[in-house]
Amino acid sequence: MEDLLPGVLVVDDEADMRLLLEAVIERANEGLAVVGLAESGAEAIERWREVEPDVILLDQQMPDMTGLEAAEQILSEQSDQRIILFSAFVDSELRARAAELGIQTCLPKTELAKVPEALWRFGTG
Amino acid sequence: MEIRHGLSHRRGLTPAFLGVLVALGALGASWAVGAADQRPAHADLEAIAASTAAAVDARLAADGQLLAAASQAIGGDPTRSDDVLVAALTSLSSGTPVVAPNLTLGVVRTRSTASARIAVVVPEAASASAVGFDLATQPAFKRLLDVTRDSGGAEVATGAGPDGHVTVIETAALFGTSTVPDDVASRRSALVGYVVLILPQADRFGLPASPSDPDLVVRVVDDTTTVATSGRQVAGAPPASGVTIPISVSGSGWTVQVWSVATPSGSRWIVLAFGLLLALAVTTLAERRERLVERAVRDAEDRAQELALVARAGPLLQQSLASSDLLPVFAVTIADDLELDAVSISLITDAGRLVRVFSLGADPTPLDSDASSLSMPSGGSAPGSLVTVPLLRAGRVVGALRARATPGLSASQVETLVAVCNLLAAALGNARLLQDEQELVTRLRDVDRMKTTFVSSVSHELRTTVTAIEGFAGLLDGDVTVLDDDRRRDYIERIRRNARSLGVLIEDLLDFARFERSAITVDLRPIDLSELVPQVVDQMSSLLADHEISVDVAPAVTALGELSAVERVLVNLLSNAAKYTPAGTKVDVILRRKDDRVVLWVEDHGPGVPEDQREKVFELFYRFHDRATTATRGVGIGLALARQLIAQLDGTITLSETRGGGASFRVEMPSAEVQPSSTTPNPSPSTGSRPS
Repeated sequence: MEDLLPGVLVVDDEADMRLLLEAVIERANEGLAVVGLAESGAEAIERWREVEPDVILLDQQMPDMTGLEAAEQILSEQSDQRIILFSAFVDSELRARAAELGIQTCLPKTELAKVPEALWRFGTG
Repeated sequence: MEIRHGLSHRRGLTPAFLGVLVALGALGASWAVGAADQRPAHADLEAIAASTAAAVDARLAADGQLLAAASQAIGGDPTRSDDVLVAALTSLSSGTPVVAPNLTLGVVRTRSTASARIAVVVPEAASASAVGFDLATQPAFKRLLDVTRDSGGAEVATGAGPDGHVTVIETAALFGTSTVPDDVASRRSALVGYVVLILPQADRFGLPASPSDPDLVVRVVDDTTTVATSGRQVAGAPPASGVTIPISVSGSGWTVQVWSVATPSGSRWIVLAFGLLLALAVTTLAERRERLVERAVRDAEDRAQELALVARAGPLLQQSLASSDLLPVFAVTIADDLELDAVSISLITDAGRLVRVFSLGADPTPLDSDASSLSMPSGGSAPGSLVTVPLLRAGRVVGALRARATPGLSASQVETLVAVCNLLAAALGNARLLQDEQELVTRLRDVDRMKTTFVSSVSHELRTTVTAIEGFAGLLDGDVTVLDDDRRRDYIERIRRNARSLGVLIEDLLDFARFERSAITVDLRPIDLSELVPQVVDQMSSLLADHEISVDVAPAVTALGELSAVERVLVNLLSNAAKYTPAGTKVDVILRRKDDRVVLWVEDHGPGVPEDQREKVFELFYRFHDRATTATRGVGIGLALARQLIAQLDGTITLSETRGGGASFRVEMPSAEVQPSSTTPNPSPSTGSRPS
């Protein structure tokens, strides 16, 4: 039963956002579990290798690298890794670049309440 | 870079050739004059000789008739008395017109030619020497007597006369009857005497005393003895050029000799000298003309080359609109065509001074002078001197070209230089327009990019903050039973912090909007910074919660400013320090008074800002890009706003580096204190440097 719980890696350079996402996911209590937190792209890749999450909730704007750059590196190692790009500013160009890399969906930060649903929809096989 | 053109010098006769032609003409003329100076033509001499011979013949014939008449007068009988004979001859001589004056007629009585003494003569005046003269004593006369007797007619001979001089004597035989015996034998036997005609020494046989040509020699010669002469008296034989023709005098070797003794006059030499002088003059004139033509052709060639340069400069200058491309090609081209040693081009700066931007060859002195003193050159230039041509655009000096040629420049070359400089000025003007346009496009693109970044940044900032507030509020609004007090307080604090951040952002945006409309006004009042600064830091404590804040404020530091503006500047600087430096690093806030100014430092210990970016961070919408800041919330307004606000307060804000490499913002404003100095307690920082 534990294996069915989708594990989520939350990546955001804003501490408030990390805390908020973690709380929202936990509050949803729909079998979702935050298995790791990271505040930069490099840390995200490192944590991804450690925790092997089912889905990565990935911020776009980060200090060391963008979410797309981190995603590209991750997908080059594991092409079926599920990733949701969670950005404050989502436009058609960002969606296109994300789709090109193989990222399943992009979610604007204003849609915080939709995070649990998105994780269930796109984060599980 | 050779200029090819259609001009060529069509050469006429060369001066030397003309000179030779004239000299040859002079020689020919001289020869002709010389020839004209010579004796008459051979044909003329022959004609003179023939007419002379005819005259002599006629004279001899007349003399023959006279002798015949004399024979008739004395009846062919010389034996008559002297008186009778004299009377008969006298009447004859006086009544016969053919007898020339001064002739002497005589009669010889003899039957043999061995002795032939003249018995009587008329005129009697000649008798003194003639009577008694024996013709037979002279071989020539003896032969004359024999021939006359045998021929029965009149004959002539030359010999020594009665006076011993050469004398011409004509004779006719007398046979005692009025008729002449038929044969020689009868005549010899019938001979009784002779009538004799003795010609005087001066007798000329009809020859003119002086021919029309004074250089002409006309001579009647009996063998070697001169019978008569006319014209110039010359001894010796005639030259080969002379004419000699025989005279039909029986038994004699009489000839007529005609020639000219004219000597060439100086005319031919005068003609020759004149001709040679003429040749010299022609040669000189032709050479001068040749030089003028060559110079004209050379000038025309130079002009053509210069025009070709002007024609070529236009397309050349249109090949590029970049000054850096134009100037070298242009300078090399004109230096090549006008044989310039040095070319330098200066352009005018915004300050109105000329600054050299390109030079070719050695230009000894830079042309960094006042543009207003330049004037258009005219005329040629002295060898090695400099020619300065102002580059004019719409009547304004936009630059100057200076050129030097070792041999100097002609007036037309200077004109050409001015013409190509006008083209250069136009090209430089176009290049400047293009550059301005490109700079404008670049600026507009930068502005566009910055505005795009601004919109993106504002969106990000607003959404992130709003999402945080909304998210934490939602968590508080849910099942509060699951939240312990600490967590609830934490959420509320986070909401407050984000709300304050949102407030700062909104204030920035509003101030920016007001600045855009120039609607901000400041009301200057004394502000107690010593009190204000700690308050603002305290208000910002939530934002700076992750940093260590050090506040070092000198007491009673009062600035003359506007409270909200100063507060905004400080908030923005603290907000920047919080955003762009890692958590846990220190932020120093220091306030000091320096003479009549107050100085506020906000220093962090983050990554700092590279030196070349330290001014740009104060530009609107500009955001210094590195890994640390790209992802950081910010819209590029705060520092631009801070600078504008401080400027309105007659203050300055600058960015330098802290000792650890962080950013050090220095704000300086006027002090509100009346006394300019010594009112500030310790410590007193030095101007421009961070207090220790």
